[in-house]
Amino acid sequence: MSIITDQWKKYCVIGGWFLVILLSSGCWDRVEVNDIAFVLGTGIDYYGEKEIELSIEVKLPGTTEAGGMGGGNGDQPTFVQSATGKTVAEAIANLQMRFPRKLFWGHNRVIIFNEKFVRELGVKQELEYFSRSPEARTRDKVFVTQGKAKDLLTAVQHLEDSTAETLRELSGTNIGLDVSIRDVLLGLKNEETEVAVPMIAVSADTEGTAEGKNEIELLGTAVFKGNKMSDWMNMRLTRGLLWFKNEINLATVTIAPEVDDGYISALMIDAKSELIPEIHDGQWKITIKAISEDDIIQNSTELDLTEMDVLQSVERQLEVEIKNRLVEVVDKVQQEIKSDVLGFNEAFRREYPEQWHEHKDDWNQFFTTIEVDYDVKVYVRRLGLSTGKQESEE
Amino acid sequence: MIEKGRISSLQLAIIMYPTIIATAILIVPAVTATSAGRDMWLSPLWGTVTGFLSIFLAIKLNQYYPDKSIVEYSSDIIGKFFGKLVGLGYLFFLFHISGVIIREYADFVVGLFIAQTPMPVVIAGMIAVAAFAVRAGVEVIARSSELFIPIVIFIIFFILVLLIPEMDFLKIQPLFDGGIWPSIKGSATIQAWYSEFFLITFFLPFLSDKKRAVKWNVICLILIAVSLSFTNLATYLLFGALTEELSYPLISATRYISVADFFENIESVVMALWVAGAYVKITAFYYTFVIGTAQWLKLPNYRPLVFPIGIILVISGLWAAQSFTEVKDSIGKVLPFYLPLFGTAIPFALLIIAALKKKIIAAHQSSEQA
Repeated sequence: MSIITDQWKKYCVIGGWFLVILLSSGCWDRVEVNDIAFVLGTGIDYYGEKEIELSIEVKLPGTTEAGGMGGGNGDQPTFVQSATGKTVAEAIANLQMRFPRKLFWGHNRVIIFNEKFVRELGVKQELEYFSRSPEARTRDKVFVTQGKAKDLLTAVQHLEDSTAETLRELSGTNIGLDVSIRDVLLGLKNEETEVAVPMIAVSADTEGTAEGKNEIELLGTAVFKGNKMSDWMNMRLTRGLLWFKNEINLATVTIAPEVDDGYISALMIDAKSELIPEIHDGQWKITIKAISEDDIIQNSTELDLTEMDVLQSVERQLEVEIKNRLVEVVDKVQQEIKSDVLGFNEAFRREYPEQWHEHKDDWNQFFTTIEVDYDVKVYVRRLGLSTGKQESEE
Repeated sequence: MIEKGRISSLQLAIIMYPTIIATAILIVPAVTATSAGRDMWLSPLWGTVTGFLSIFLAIKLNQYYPDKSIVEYSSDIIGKFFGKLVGLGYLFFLFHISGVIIREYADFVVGLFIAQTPMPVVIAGMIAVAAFAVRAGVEVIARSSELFIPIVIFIIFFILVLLIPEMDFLKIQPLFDGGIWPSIKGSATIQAWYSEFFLITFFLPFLSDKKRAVKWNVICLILIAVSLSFTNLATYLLFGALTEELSYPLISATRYISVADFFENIESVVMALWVAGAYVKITAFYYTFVIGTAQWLKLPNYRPLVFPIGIILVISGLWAAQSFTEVKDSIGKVLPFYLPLFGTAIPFALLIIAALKKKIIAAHQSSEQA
């Protein structure tokens, strides 16, 4: 008589099914939310030649957004901790010793580098960790700060719960550059545009702030040569640089028309730019074509903008103003910075790969000799709700 | 015949789509980027040559021997001894490749999502699920993939659409910077995947509508090529020259998705896609290995083999590679020759011999009649 009866077979099959369900649902690795600490922002500071200081901003459990808003100064919903190590990985391991919960990098949004660190050591070796880790994301935004990154993380802002969130929102406004880890790592590859990263600092203007709170302000752009930061641009030049990156958005341009001593301000509703490379008889030339559609938002002159010829002359003057800004950027980059953050490299590689190959190795020298042409077009589309002008006071 | 179930050509195509694409879509972009660079989106299209050849060979051979798979008709073509030897070769090939596939699956799941789970558990879980499907026969395999694959295709499409805002379409210019050769070189690895199409030799005898087999398999192949091409294109437009450094470009790309600041962290969706796809792929290879073994041993029923072979496959998966580096190394250096050897070269030789034999017999008969 067989031991394995039909009854037993049935039990075995059912038992097998349960085993499969248990094994294949992945519950072995379950992680409870109250066993992890959410890292929101990371700061990397210079700590001698061989070591780094890593600071992290961690979300305090139990402070949801609603709770944070209700609270006063006392209950900041995040806190900052830092540790040193030879690499990011080692510093994280050292930090972990102080946390009863596992640090979780999936919600990290920003990485802030100290200026001295990127000037002397560069970014690649540390960002590498974040592109390798299965938790972190290459979408995280990268910033450079003049002071200590830790001070920036500890600063408390009025509007957002954390420095990380403030910075993420700030990079989304298109006032400065918007740079992610992916962009930096890609820029470090040969053949690509050099890296440019937004520069920030804790605002020195503390008047009118609540006690213990500081806003963060954009200072401009840190410009890299290869892996290391070599120079920087102020905010005025950064706004010009945005044209070359085609990231300009909702910018305000103000001009002083020759005929009168008031000002006219225009808001760019839609702006596009394009780099058009050309090589004629060995002469390298690049045209930046910038087109914007504007609304007039303020007019303190006596000019009547409802007249076509006046409006057109204002358009021409707006074009000159934008062009001057672009010239300023190109001069600075070609003559002082000498690092191709403008994207000429890629433009020529696309259109003239053969000629480009000849110069790619000494590109940062060569690109300074390229002639730049400007083709700026401004169309004023609307005048706002009131189309009046200033009456003359005579 | 050993298998009582019958499937349609469309169902076969639905099995074959994930069988090729499940592993390809995750690993191929990085491997092709290394050699093809900016032109990597073309490589999956060049690779289809091998795919068409594999389909042609499988179907042509099946026309000579409609009720048999390669394990059986190899004996008819080149004699009992050599035929059995070729059959054994195929069994070993299926055994080894199944191991590699299971390993790829486990490496991905363990490496990215469930780091603490021991690999044998991950592998055994998948093999157990597959074993139930294999035991239930070809119809169940076909129906379960009919259930999963529309979702898989939808998710791939969905992810590619979500990535569009992040793409820089100028990145692929200039086309053919280094000539056309890099993109062809990049197709070397992809054609290895396409040669897996020869697996249909085991399914063709069970088709209820053989006439449409060519049509559906070709459609399936084209769909695969298009899917891979789009994935390659999307990852390059997103990561550019970084693509070759990424282990799983599609995963890194999915992690990059963030729509309106709240629709993000959706890589678990890709994991679901991958598990569903890998399930069909592993089941298909598992099934063919079981069926092939039963045919080789001339058993009346294949079901008793299912669980023992499952246990062997678990071990094969654990032994297939030491590390991720070894998996990638063999994908780049060994598989481009190894897979087409069994997917195209040996079938090609068999087909020539079979065709010659038929001619000689026909000539013989006509001379006898005369």
